[in-house]
Amino acid sequence: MENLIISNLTKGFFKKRALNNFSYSFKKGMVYGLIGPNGSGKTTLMKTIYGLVKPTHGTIFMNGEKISYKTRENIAFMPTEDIFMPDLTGNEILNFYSNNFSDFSLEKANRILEKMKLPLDEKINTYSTGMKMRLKVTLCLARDVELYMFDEPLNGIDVISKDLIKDTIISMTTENSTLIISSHALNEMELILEQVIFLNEGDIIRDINLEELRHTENKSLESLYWEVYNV
Amino acid sequence: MYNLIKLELLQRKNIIKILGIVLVMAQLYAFYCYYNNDINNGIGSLFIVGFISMIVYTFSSFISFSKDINERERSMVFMVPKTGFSIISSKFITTFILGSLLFLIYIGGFIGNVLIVNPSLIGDFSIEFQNFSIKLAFLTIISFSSFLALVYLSIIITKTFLSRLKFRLIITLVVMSILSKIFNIIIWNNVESADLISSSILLIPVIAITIVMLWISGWLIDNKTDF
Repeated sequence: MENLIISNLTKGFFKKRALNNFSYSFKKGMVYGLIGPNGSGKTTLMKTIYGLVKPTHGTIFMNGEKISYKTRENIAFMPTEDIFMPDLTGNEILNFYSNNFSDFSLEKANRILEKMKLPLDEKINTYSTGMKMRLKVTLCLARDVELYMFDEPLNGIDVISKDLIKDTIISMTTENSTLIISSHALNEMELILEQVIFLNEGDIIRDINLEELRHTENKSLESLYWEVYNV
Repeated sequence: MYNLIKLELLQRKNIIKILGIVLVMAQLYAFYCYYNNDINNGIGSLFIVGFISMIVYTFSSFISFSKDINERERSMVFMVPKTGFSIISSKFITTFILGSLLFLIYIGGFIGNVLIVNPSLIGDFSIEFQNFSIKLAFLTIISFSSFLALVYLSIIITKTFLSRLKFRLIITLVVMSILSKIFNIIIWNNVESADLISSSILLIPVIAITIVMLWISGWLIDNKTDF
C-alpha cells in the first residue's frame, strides 16, 4: 500500500532545477535507496518531503494529508548537514527531541548511544563530525514513525558504529514503515535496500527492484551505478 | 511552545551569564567609587555599562535569529512539528521577556543607586513623576517588542521574497525605517500629553501590528522559507 505519493514535484533554485517534475509513490514496508551523483536532487527531495524545502510546483501527500509541519509527526528525517545549536549539550538535544516528538523514545536513544559512546554532557561544539552524525542518526532511529529518511547516514561514521546503525535500520523495517535512504556507500547499503531509484538532475532515470536484479542479472549495485551513469 | 521557549533560554544562557557578570562588576565598581566620594563616576559608569548591555543583548538576539534563519547548520528548531508562528513566537517571547527583565533591572538598579548616594531623595518623587516613569518604562518595553517583531519580519523577508535581489538589505532598511516612523508617530508623539489610560489605548494598534508581523513571519516560515 502506498503511503507517500509525490506528483509532478519541481523545485527551482534561481535558474537551476533541483527537482524536475518528479513523480513517485512510495509503498509501506519497503526500503528505498536514492542513488545519484552530487546535485542530482536526493537531498532536496528528502527535505521537500519533510517540509523544510517548499516546492515550486507539484504536490506531496503522506497518508492522504498534504505535507506540512503536521506531517512531521509521522516522518523522521536525518539531514546530512549539522542541525544542532553549538552551545547545547548532547543531553539537552535529546531532551528537546523527547519534549517535541511524542513518539521519541529516550530509552531507545540512550540504548543506541550507549554503544556509540558519545559524551552527552559535553557541548556540541566539542563534537567531531562523526560524533554529530551518530547523534543525528540516533535521534532519527529513536522515533517510532511510518516514514524514516536518512540522508547519507554512514558519512563520517566509524566501522563499529556503521554496523550498529545498519543493524538498527534493518530492525526498523516493518510492514508498516517505509525507509528512504540516500547514500554513496553503495556496497554497504546494498543488503539493506529493496528498491533503488537512480536520480539525475532532479529526475528519475531508473527505478530498480534489487531482488529482481539479483535474480535476473548477477550485478552489484555499484556496477549498476557505473552502468547507469556511464562512468 | 513552552518547550521551544526552554530551548531558546538554553541557547541564551551564555549571553545572560556574561551580561550578569558585567553588571555585577559595574555595581561593585560603583560602590568603590561611592566609597571614595566619586559619585559621578560611579553613577556614570553604571549608566553606560547598563546602556551598552541593553544594546549588546538586543543585537546578539538579532544576530542569533538571523543565524537560525540563514544557516542550515542551525535548523534543528525548524524541524519540529510546530507552526512557524509558534517557533517565531517562542523566539520573540524569550527575547522580549529577557530584554524587559534586563531593562527593569537596569532601571531599578539605577534608581536604587541614586537613592543610595542621596537618601534624601526618598519620598521626594512626585506622583506625576512616578506615573510618567511607569508610563515611559511601559512604552519603552512595548516599543522594544514592536521593534523586535519588525526586525524578525525583515530578516525573514530578506531570506524569502528579497533573496534574489541585489539591494535587499537597503530595501529592508528603508521598509524598516518607514514602519519605525509610523510606530514613533503613534507612540512617542503622544507620550507626554497622554495619561496612563489613553496611552494604553494608543498601544492597542501597536500590539495588533506586532502580532500581525509575527503571524506574517510565521506564515513565511511555513510556506516560503527553505531550510
